[in-house]
Formats: sequence, C-alpha cells, structure tokens
Amino acid sequence: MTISKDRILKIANLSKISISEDQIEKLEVEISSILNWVETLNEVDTENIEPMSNSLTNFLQMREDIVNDGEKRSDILSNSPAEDESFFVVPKVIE
Amino acid sequence: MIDVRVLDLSSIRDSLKKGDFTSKELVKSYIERIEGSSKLNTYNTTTFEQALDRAEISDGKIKKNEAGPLEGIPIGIKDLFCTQGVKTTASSKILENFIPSYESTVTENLFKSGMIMLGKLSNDEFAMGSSNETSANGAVVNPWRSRNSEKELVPGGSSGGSSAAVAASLCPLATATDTGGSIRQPAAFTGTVGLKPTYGRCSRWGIVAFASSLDQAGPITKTVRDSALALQAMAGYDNKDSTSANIEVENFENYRNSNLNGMSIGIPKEFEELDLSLDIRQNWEEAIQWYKEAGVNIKSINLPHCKYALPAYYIIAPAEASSNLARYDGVKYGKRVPGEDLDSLYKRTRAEGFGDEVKRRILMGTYVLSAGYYDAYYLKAQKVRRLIHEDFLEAFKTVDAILTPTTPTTAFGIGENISDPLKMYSNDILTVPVNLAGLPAISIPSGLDSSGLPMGIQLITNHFDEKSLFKFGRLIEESRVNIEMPTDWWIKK
Repeated sequence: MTISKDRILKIANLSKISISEDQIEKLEVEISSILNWVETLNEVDTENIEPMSNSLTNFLQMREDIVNDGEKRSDILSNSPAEDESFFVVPKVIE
Repeated sequence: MIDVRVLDLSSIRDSLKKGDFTSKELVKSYIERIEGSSKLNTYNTTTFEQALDRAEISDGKIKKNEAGPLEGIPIGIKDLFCTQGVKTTASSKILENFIPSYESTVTENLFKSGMIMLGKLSNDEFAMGSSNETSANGAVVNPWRSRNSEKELVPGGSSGGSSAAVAASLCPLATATDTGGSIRQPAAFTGTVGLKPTYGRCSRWGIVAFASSLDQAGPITKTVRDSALALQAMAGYDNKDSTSANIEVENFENYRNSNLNGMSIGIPKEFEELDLSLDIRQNWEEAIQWYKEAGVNIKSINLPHCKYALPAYYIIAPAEASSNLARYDGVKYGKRVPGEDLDSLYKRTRAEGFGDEVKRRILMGTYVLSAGYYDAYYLKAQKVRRLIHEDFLEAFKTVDAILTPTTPTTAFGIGENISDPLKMYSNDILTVPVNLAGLPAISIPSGLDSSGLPMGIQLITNHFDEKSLFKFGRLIEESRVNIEMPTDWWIKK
C-alpha cells in the first residue's frame, strides 16, 4: 500500500499542519513503508472479535455531574498567547 | 559534600531518619553533581532554589517527627508531568513556555510523601521515541559507554532523561511514563530498574497525554526495593482520572520475605524466534537458570498474537495521539505562530511547534482514523489488541510471571537509528505487547554485554500483581554479576 501525494496533503490539512514540498516526498516514502508494515495485521483472523479500546473497561465509572471547582478564569488565561479582557484572541473568523 | 553515587532511595531514607546527614546537605550534593553533568543534557529545567527551601522545611519536619514516608529525598520529574508554577514542556517547542497552574496527581502524591523536586527531566518530544533524540532540547547522553570507546550512546526513550539521571546519580528516583516501553527500554539501556505499573494503577491526571489507553506512569530507580517504595508513593485511586482503578494500594515493600520455590515462570516461544543479539539471548538463558535453581518451574508458553503487537501499536498509539494533540492550536496556551486567518495560524503553529516524529505520528493517526480507512486500520488493530490481551490472560492461568529480555540489543549510538522509523520502532518489540494488554512489567539490570553495556530482563505479571514483580525481580539482583557504576567520564571538574 502506498499513499499518494494528494492523500498526504489531505491528511495534513485535516491535521492542521502545513507541510512543504520537500517534506511531502519524504512523508510519502515513510508513511507508505509504515503502512506496508502494518498490513501484516491482515494475516490475523478477527472474525467475531470485539475491538478493545481499553484494557480495564470494567473500571470505567460514572460519576455525579456536579460542579466541584470554579473561579479559574485567570489560571486558564495565564498561558494564553493573546487575550483581551477575559477572552482568547484569534484572527477575525466572521467578516 | 555527600558522595551520592553510593546512595539509593532506601539508604537515603534510612540515613535521613538516623540523622547521618540533613536533607539540605543532600540536596546541595545533588545540585553540585547535576551542575557538573551538563554534558549528559538530562534536565530541561532545574528548580534548585525551591529545592533548597523545601529541604529546610523537610529537615524541620524530620526533627519534629512529622516526616512523610519519603521526607526530604530529592527526585527528578519527567517533563511530561504538569508541575504547578514550574515550566512543563514535554520537550516540545509547542509547549516551550507552558507553566501549569495545577499539579499532576502523581507528583502531588510524591510531594505529599515529602519528596523534593530537583527539576524537570528531558524526554522524547511528547514521549514519542525510543532514544531521547526527538527532544526539542537535543539528545540526552547515556552515562554508559562501551569499553575502550568514547562513542556517545542514547539512554533509550522516551524517558531517557529519567534513566540517564538515575544511572548517573543525578537523582535517586525519577518519574517516567510508559506507552510502549518508554520506562523499561531506557532502564535496560542504562542499568537501572524501570517499572511500568498496571494500567489504572497510577493516575494519569496532569500528565501530558500521548496515547490515553496505553500511557502509564512509573518510577526509574537503582534497585527493585526502591521501585517498590516509589510505587507506594505514586499509586492510588484518583477521581480526576476516570480510568484510575479504585483498588487498594498494598504495602509493596512486604515482598522481601517471600519464597519463590514452587512458583512458575513462563517463557514465550514466540519471543525466542525474535531477532535478539547473542549476548541478550545468552543473558536470558542465564536468568532462566537462576530461577530454576531457586526452585521455580519453568514452562514454555505461547503468545501467538504478540508478533502483531508492534504493527497494532503503531496504528492505535498514533490514532490516539492525533486526537490528543489536536489541543495544541496556538490559541489557549503554548506557542503561537501568527497567520492571516485562523486556519493558517493553526497550520503554522503546528508546523513550527511539532518535530518530525510527532508530525509523522499525527499524520499517520489522522490517516488511520479518516473516513474509509477507519475499519481497515483502527478497528482491525483494536481487534488484534483483544487477541493479544487474551493470549496473556490464557498464559497467566498456568504461570505466575513471564520472563523475557527487555530489548533486542543494548544501547546504540546517537544518530544511528533516527533516520529509519521502522528500525527505531523495533526497539519496543518486547515491551509493546504489555501496554496493549494493560499489564504491569519491570525491567531489571541483569548483566553486561561483551562490550560492557548494561542489559535488562523484563518480568511481566497479571493485572495489579506488581508485588510479584518485586518478589521475582529480587532474584535477578541477587544472581547477576556485580554491575559497577558508569565511570564519571562526563563530569566537569
């Protein structure tokens, strides 16, 4: 399985990472070789096997939906690269 | 100054209690040694002033008999654990200025037990790597070198700062995290003890997330006993982590009076067929012999799906990573590279903020989760994961522990494998299956190879049976040849 240049550009866009022309070629080779290697999974018969997302599913517990802290606005904003009053600032999104 | 090279966690605990030295003297001695060891590049950030202040408080508590179980003992923290008010970078440019306003549960537990942070230790960027070469702060250097060679070697990864710091006596205990081998492989490469606890044993809250269904925190120490002491302080239920296990933390140090006679160890056939170095293979056979002599039954077992663990891991881990790392967008915290619109702000920030390995994994993960590929890759890998998990459960019906080498080779040179991702990934072939199954495992130094580099043996037990790891692990420490410390070749006089 090889991955095309178009596909690399598409997933880079989905991942929100800009990549340069020379990186695309390198990534094509690297990701294709990783994909070829993971193809070996097709040797395994997984008919009727439930996918496993977590080794300890029986420990996953529900909890009460209650507010247990607050007043964190200044903490949350303290690492922000740009803020104004109590808002994160980003380039204009809607004209 | 105290000679910290000869100390370990439990001897320090005893000496502080007896008053052989004060916490302040101890902290000063470690600081001096860290300052002379900049060549190893282990610490991203140091917190010496706070450490000296804390040591004074600890000395007061020790005097007044109010000391916590690990009161006044210095510790190095992997730069993946959020520490309140102290820069936490995950060794990534994208977090180069991030100062958490909260404390991770594991570090909070350690500080509550009285431990004193010396600083934050380097790791592969976002814990993605097996050599600590992907850190934005540059490669960490292994304190070990081959006999008669000056070639610099990697300390393993991703917890390479942690393993190198403990091996070089720059802290008696370091925290680490293990997603596919990131505690055990660096421990094996540096002659230290690395424990990956059961998934759910230590809270993940406040640890920079890589692959949430696999990540687990654990200690790197000099001895098995220290590993038990450290786990005791780190573990425990935490309602801030929904995967934290609400089960009792036993007294792990109690393993010391146990007898191995009549217990059984499994040797997985499929691991015997792997490409292992001759020295490692011989060392494995030697270790089997030690257990036989102790009256342990050695059984050949099958883990038929383990040969698929590595490819399954390299679908599941990047998939989870691509999702976890979506949060680094240059808006709420971390680095921002300006753009003419929001989309280009995101794309430029992430292009400049992430290194090559992290980008490759995000792209790979995005691909296997994308429409049309999800079933063929991600779902398939999760099904294989279940089969691997079942293999282990089946094995533990007949054996108490499983014994394998930790790594296929000993430490390699800086720059040797970094350009070949698949070759780098193959380092984790013996450790990755354990993460997929959520099991606990430990790497213990088991000897030196023919060029004088440390080798590690891995023990694996059933879920939440860390105690047996210590019980079995002790025999390796007692049986192996004496492993001298690395010579202080890097020390700036």
